[in-house]
Amino acid sequence: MTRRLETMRSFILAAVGIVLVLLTWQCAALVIDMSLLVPTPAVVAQNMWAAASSGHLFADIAVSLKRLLVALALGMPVGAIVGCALGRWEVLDAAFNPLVRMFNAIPAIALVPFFLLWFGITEASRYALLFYTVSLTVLLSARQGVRSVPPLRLKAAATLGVTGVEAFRRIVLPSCVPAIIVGVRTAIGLAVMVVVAAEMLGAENGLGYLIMQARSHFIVADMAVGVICLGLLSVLLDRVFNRAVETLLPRWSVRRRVR
Amino acid sequence: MRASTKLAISTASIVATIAIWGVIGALMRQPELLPGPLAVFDAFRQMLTSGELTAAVGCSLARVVVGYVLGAMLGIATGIMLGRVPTVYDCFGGIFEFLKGIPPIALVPIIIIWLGIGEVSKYVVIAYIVWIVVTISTTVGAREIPILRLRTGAFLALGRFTVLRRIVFPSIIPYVLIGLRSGIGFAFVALVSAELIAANSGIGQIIMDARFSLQTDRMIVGLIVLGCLGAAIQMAFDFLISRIPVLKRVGQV
Amino acid sequence: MDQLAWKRLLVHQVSKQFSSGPCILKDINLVFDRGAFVCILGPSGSGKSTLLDMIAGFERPTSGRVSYDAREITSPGPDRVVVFQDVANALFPWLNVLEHVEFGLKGMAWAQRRERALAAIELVGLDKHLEKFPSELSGGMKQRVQIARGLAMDPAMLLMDEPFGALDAITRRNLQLEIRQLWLRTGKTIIFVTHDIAESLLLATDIVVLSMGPNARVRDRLTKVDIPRTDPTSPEFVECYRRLESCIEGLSADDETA
Repeated sequence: MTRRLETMRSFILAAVGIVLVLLTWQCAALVIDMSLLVPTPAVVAQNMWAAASSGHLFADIAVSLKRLLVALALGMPVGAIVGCALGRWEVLDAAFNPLVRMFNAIPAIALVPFFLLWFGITEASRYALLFYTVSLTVLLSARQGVRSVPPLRLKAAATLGVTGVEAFRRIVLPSCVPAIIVGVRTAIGLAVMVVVAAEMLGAENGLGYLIMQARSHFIVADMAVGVICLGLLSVLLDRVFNRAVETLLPRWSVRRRVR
Repeated sequence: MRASTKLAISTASIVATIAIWGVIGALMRQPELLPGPLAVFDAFRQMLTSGELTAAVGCSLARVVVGYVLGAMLGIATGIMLGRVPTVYDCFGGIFEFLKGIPPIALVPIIIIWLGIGEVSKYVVIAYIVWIVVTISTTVGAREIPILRLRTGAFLALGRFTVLRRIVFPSIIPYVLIGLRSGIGFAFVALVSAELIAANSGIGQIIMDARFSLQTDRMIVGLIVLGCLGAAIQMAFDFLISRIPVLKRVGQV
Repeated sequence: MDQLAWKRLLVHQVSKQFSSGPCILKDINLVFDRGAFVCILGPSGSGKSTLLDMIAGFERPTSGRVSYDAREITSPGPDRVVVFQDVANALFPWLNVLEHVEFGLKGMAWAQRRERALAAIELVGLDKHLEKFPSELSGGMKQRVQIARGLAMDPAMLLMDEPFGALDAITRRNLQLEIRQLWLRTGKTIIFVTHDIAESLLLATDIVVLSMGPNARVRDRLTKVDIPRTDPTSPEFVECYRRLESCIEGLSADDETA
């Protein structure tokens, strides 16, 4: 099959998949017949439209998104720099890696109550937790990246007269970019989890708050709206991130394949 | 740097951290905010002897195990289906990508409304996320079975089921293991998510309660226990896997 | 002494033993002339890579010294560029061909650097692939990039550690012929490690045969090899081949009974 036919086929099948899921959902809703508990897709769509046109939905999404992006913008560079430092200097690594590992063992979600207690129900507490999560994740990836540079690569550089600090800048750092990319991707997923949790447990706006609000009113349809928006947001973030990597870091993209 | 030097530095750093923690705790004007290491240790001892800790750990652990096993089994089955039947993959692959992006904690309220705040809802939340994670990993593995192996099956005229059993299963094992391992972490996230919102028992409940009663020392105990539990399970998993020679033979990704 | 050492590589009474390990090389004495194509031949485990490492400067001899132009070799450098066998790990995935070859060139104007790089790339025949990245190159092309990268440095000698061992037979043959042409054109000193007798006879003016380790020694030394390179049926070729073969086989048998 030609490429175009193939893409069309995938597209159609994906649409079929969505339709099947919606149909199953609709049937389940009809069978269970408790419209408050199990709303039909139509009702959910209605609520989503209402929330969107009133502007509330976008406001909540925007707030959650802002928290995410700010935390990423701050946490990524800090995590990358500290991670590279740990990877580079054994002394630092011996001193701090065990601590990092220990903190990493505690799921970030579990720290939400702690941060809320410490900083109160403020924007600062959410940012602090998000920053912590993002930088820790990126740190570990960056450290791993620096440590797994093939020694032969450094030997090759040495034989060309490139050693020391210059080698670190020109060989080690570019070598660990793929690892850092993976770390950031993971961090994004974790950050979404954390921001939603923080909003659910202590906030006055955002998608998490939206879900909790719907819960207190027992409107499952609104909760579904929140959940669906979260899923779409995650997919969008993932796509945007991949596109950003392709555009800004084309040298490290995986698209190129060996003949 | 010699291993002994590294160990020395690591130990010194941990000791120093605990010491600094103690100092900061003592200096802070609100002792509830940051209890010192001794206060935390006291709380730990108290919770341990009263049996509270063991009960909570047992509770949480049971939930994780049940949810994990359920989710993993479903995940492997779904993953094989998605991976081996291209039509199914084209239909539902995108949906899984969508589902993966939904944090388990966002689903907890809905599941609680449907299934109550009992054990079942917690099993479901944990099983759900483990299912997704394991499915995704298994799908990748099932899609990437070296065509040579499948052709061997074809020219040996092996039946459908035999191919599944003797070629597909062994080939996907490395990928399944990767999914299973990362599933552990996600299972704990889901566990905490469920226990923080539907807090009736378990470690998450201890943490949530401590927040409202401002007993930070108990909260810290809960956090540390949680961290240790997660790490212990992961180490146990790694150990188990390394002990099964079949899995090592099957090779790396 | 200075006259004799001028632009010559001297390996003097060199022994190498890794800490608490067996002695890999024992009392190696070699002199290499400028412009020679030297093959270090030997079975696996004969320490030939270790010898090359010491010439390159990655390792220091436990006793004895390696010197070039009367100066002791203590560290790697661009006057003794190495071409590695594991080309996938020796290349830098984020640089394209041109950037690779320009990589080590420092302390000169941009234009001059570009010129040097392009000249080297032309020598290996990759001038139509300047923008390609390693993941887009075949194994043979990757090796050519490594060679060009080394040649651009205008090194005193090119050190090659079984560079064609991981390639398929046809590519290997092509690259062998190409490296010979390169040598004839540039006159560079090349030190080439291999276990392939035919390869050494195709390429080398000097062949050093090392015995099996531990305590590997120089077992045989052919100098000023002057045979019809591309005609393996010629009597001179066959004679050399037999001599080397019996040397190597004899060694293996010796060590088994020893």
